[in-house]
Amino acid sequence: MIVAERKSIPELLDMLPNDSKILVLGCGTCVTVCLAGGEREVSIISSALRIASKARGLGYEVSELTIERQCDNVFIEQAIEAIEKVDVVLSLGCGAGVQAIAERFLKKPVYAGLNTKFLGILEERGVWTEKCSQCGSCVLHEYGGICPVTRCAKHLLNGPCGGSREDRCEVRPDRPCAWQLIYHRLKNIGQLERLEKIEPPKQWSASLSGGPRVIIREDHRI
Amino acid sequence: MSSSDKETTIVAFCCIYCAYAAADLAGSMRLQYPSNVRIIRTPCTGRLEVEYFLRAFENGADGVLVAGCEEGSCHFKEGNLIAKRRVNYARKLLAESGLEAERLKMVNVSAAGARLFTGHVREMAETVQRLGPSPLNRAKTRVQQEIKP
Amino acid sequence: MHSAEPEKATEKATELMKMSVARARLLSPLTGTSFAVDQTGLVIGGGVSGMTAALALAGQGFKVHLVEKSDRLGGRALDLRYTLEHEDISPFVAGIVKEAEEHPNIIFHLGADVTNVAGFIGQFKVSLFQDGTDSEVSCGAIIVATGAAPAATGEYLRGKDQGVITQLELEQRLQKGDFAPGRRNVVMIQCVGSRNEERPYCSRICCSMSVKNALKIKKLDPSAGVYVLYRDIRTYGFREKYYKQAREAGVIFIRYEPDAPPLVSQDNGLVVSVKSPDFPEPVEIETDCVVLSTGVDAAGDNRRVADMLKVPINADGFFVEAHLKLRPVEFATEGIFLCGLAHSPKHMDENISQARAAASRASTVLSKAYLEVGAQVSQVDQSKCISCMTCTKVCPYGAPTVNADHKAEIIAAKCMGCGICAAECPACAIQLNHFESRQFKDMLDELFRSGKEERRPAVVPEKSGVL
Repeated sequence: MIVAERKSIPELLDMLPNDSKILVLGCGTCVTVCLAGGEREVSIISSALRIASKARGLGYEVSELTIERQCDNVFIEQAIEAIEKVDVVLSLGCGAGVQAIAERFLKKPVYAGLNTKFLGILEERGVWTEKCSQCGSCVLHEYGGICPVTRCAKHLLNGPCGGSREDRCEVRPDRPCAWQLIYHRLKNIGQLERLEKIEPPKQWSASLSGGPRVIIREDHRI
Repeated sequence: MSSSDKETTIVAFCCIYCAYAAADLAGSMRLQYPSNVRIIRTPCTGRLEVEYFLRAFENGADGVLVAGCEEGSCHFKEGNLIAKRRVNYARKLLAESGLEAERLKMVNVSAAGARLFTGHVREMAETVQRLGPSPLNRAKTRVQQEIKP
Repeated sequence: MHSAEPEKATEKATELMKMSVARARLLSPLTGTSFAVDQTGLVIGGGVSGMTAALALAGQGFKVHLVEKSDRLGGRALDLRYTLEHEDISPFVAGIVKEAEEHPNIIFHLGADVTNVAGFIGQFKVSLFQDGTDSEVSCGAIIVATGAAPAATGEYLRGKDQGVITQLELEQRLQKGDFAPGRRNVVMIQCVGSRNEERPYCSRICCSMSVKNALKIKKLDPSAGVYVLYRDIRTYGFREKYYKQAREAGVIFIRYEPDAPPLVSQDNGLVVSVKSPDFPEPVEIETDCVVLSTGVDAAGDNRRVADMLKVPINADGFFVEAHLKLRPVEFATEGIFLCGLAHSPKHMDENISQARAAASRASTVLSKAYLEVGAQVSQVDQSKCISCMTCTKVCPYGAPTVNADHKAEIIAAKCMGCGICAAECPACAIQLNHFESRQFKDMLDELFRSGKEERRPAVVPEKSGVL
């Protein structure tokens, strides 16, 4: 799931033009699940913006709407009427959602109300952790299903750095050392011999380092 | 209490199991406390959405009290603790939006705590008096459109 | 309420009414499910109140569990010998104990402690600890009659001089006949350790108790001098006539003020000196018996019991009813009732009436084979649910589950109606019946709507039934 976090109200106030009609547009998928951009957050942020507008005389006129998915034109169409009535859209979708809206409405400024953070999961109530950094060439099978590219702060593919203290990562002591996890996991599934294999240098061109990525499926093209 | 023409308004969300009963008891005991409080009954403070607190201020409340059971005594185990976390979130949003966070406060009272309850209301009334009426009350029209797809 | 500012009180009432009307516009009829009631009662406390309540329920044909901490029935009444109205209490207590013991519907748990209470009205599960073993009993209603204790004191040479006793001790001695008549004077001191900072409440029974004992002494020996040093005499109700009788019998009542309490010295025999606002000079009374009215303390165990039942106790340690006037023998938590000294200090006849009232209220639960509840539960709008499962994580009762369509669904029988899930759902897909979001929001809008502003159009309740 895409995990995002809302921007602070002062950040939003900096971004939004005074004396404007604003539509706070939520997205009912990933960002709702991670409690950042669903119907409830739309309502909360809209209310906060109205309060800020009145308290500071900013002249906002705030309306609210949440659609099923901002990354699909079928659902974006449902927002046309609401978007046409306003001056700017404050999207609480992920980065993809914001851009999909911007592409659909050529003359309408669209602002991102969230910071899209990572691909991750809900670990416990209120705690989301990053699991995948979309490197484009998955090596999870080599590491017992624990991603060293994402979860090792140094992205090491051939063993730990040696700096971990009591299972903790040297760079982020609040996180476990990925290599500790990999070792235990491989031991549990009886594949410790995998650690003896030397992983060749990673092809980073499949990641964002190779420029914006596109997937073309000829079997699906008309 | 100040006797200004336009009085301030305090909204108190009261849990039916404790603060609402305490407010009732305060009445039976004829305790005097600020009359500008408006009580809204809730089955548990855990029912209260962050939006309600914000909406109260957006509409013109000068102070909002959220009164739940004593910690550890929630009829629903942990509703009051969840409410505390929501109130803290709303306080942060208020501060970010330019309102004093003290205008929103979570308190804990038992059903027997009539004096404690009236004390909390009085304290909030004092806070409001110290801070002055909500800056939002200068322009008092609520502009809101709810659009359905 | 707000009696000093009637205009503002009216304004408050008007606005509260407006808010309620705003909410009422959006209410819709609820239909609940029903569940079976365990038609058994459980009474905690085997004193006169507890036994009376148990007998009242048993007499109506309900099985009743009677849980008593000690190994003996009777409670505080075992210490009493007579009341103002009745000469001999012991036969009455013995009688009620016998009646209870012989009643086929009462199941006794003597020497038992309540260790846990689970469930809800109609279906409580109460864990007991008795003779070193744990057990569990089921019941549909619980009556709390845990009683109270006589307050102890170290004031007025209590514990230092044999001549300083309590009203209870005096009563027992009078009955046994070893309170030697022909004493010079008996001095009773009221409000000992009561109505002060430590124990701010009035124990209600002490005034009548001293009048009762004073009359008894006068009856044994009309020439005995009996002095009652008091702050306010409250022999309330019809007991007022005994106060009159006591004065007519020559009992002397002397008022003192809290900032000048009587002094007891034993240097030249027991001497009580008191400065009364009614006399210009302090009065000294030579005596050989000082009797202290020490009042009533809440049972030390009340906090533990209250925590288990999730019911409130006040700052003095007594249980608090749901409403002083409207719901006097029950707690806000449904299915749990209270009576006797556990609630507040009062006379035995009042305790008996209250115990019967509590039993009567409890029988409104027990007399039903099924209870209609569960209408005020949360419901998921399946079309809005995005299967994030936030509700399953926040519910304290495990009521929400994933259904066959991979959507959240709330099991009504497990839902307690707190609304935590409804306030948490990020897609706003859950509503708590009777406390819906739009009802709260409309109340908040109505409160701040000035007369000129237009009311937003009423939303017709989606689930509106045919009326």
